[in-house]
Amino acid sequence: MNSQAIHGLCVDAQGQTHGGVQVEDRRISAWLPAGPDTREWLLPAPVDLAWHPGALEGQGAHSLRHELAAALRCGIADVAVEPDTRPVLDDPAAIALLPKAADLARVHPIGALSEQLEGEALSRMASLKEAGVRCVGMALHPFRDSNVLRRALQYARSMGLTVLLHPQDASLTQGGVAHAGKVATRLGLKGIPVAAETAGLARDLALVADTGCRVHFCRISSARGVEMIAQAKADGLPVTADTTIAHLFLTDHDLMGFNSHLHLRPPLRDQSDRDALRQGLADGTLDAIVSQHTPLGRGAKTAPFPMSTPGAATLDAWLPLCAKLVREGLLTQARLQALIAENPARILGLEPRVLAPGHAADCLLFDPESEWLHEPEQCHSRAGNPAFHRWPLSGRARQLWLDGQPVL
Amino acid sequence: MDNLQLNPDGSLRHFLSIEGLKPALLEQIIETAASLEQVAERAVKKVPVLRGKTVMNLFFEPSTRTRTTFEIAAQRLSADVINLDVQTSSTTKGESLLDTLKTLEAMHADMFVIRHRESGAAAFFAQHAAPGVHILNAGDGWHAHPTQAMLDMFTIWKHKSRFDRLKVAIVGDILHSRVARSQIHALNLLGTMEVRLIAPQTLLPEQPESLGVHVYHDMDQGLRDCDVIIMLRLQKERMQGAHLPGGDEYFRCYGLTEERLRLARPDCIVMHPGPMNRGVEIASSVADGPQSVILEQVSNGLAVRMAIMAMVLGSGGESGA
Repeated sequence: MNSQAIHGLCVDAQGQTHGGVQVEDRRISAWLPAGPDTREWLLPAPVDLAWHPGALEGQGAHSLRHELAAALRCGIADVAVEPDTRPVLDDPAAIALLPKAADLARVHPIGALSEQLEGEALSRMASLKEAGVRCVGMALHPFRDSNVLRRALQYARSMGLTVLLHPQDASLTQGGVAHAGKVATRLGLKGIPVAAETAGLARDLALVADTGCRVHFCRISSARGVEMIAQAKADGLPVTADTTIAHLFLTDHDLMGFNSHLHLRPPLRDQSDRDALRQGLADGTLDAIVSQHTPLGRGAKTAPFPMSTPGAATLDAWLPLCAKLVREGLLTQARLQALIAENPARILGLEPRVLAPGHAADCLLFDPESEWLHEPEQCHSRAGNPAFHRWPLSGRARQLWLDGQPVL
Repeated sequence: MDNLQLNPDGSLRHFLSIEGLKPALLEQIIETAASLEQVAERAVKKVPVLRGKTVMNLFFEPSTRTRTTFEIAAQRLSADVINLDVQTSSTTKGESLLDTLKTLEAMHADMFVIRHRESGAAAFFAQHAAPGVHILNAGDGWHAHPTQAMLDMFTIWKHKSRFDRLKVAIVGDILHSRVARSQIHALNLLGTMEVRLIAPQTLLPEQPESLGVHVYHDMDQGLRDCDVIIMLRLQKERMQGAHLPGGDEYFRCYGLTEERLRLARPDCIVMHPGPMNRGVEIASSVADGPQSVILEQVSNGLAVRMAIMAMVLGSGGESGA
């Protein structure tokens, strides 16, 4: 029988600290007492809910295979891939293309909710489920026809699938490249108003109430959006929600000078929105922090701002910035564990990702004080579109165990 | 962006936007334009300031009028001028825009006068330009058209001599106007007492007050006691979409008529960046009337563009090389 002690500062559900875990036969058997020199954090192995990797195949610089290997080196055990890949994840044959290997982060496909993400015909959800899909969604594509969306939610519920929706009103979003606010006014950029998110959210919530389908709302970007999620939860609707690491650390003000690396969907909004998103994480309204890692080649951003491809690479910065929210006092370590491991695992339908006796020994040893500069040579990702280029960061993955086996 | 267009000594390396410039620099442009203006009155309308330099007019968006004034301005400064109208589609990649720039740089161009339909295009080219190559923004999307704004300031200055007692109204499609954005920054930098925007909300950007202006939806109220009225061109397609109702409603609410002009100060001047839509935003009797300085703007455009080219590529240009 395999027995080992893993040392690191860990926090249980009651907020009590321990000095590590004892692992017997791949599962956690007991807490270890806290020692005076326990500085590194022991966390449940992180789960990132939203990647947009682009092409599924290929061996290039920032191919999915390369980025999944990089994720493991960043300490990320599990990654959910949004369905807007090439090919679209609306077919078991496409799901089969997802790379799987011991030296890669485990990949969890989010199936397409409609054929080709066009929002017109339901996808073959039962076949997708047989291929291992637990969630279906539309990535960043809008669902224009509310009647088809209603049926899609009904059908997904019948198949026992969770639906991931990015709330948006297609006509209010169309053509926009930045938050409709002071910065877009100065730069002469076409705006996307907060109403694009809230109008979409209002419709989607009405359909959740109508169908009873479990829905996870992705990439909430606005204060008003956070309020609507809080109200929906208070009303007892089966909903959860996340926001992205970029929206927690950047605002539309960072676009000044036409920084095309921060051309994102949804757009970066203003300071009050950013503050409300942070508050929503702390008070439990929001359930997860996602990287929304969108690796692109350098050329995608070599263009005047409106012509650049939206999306940013955030893989290397995700965990250090999540940890920063703990150091800044916004989150406790226990709350962070919920936001980057327990809740995302539950939303994806994985085994509970909890650091406690009786659970699988999926854990990350993370040094929160290791300082480094976000530069290409310091990063595992090879994407050419980093959002946090030249940011001083703190925090590095030291060791990662999956089922008690070291993988890093 | 501010640093991008300035040399370490504060002189102009590029001319991309009014925002981020110091008032003294704007005043210097006006003074230089005033001294260059006399060139047009000479028998030989040329000065040798840019002799041996090559200026390329790189227009990704067609505009004969603006391009011609840049062309004449460069010729009067004795530069060699090459005009390039580049046809691009909305699917043209940024990298192929850069290829165009790099190819032309290899022909030893000293300055590019660039117009492009996307906001931020001028800054994009400036970021990628070789050292010693200067970019002059002749209009990028809805963002900026700084030479137009400076020729408007020059025109106002010639008539009013100072800005601090002026009330200036900008009327019309401000949302889609790079001219208006640049004018607002220039007027505020030069200490204008009050800048007013007059338009329905559908033609205004978000939170327009953040630009340092007062907003009026009622034109009669907005024009009261104004010293300068700047009318903007209304693109005809705006009246077919959802920005405005059709018919003559826009002219009835926001058209400048002789009757409305009487609400402003008696010595108020009327400006328009052109080309005008007579009967859409401005009555012909006003456009051709005694208070109109619209044709003067065109000739002032030459002196101002000469001044800016000389400042960027003349003495100040060498230190950036």
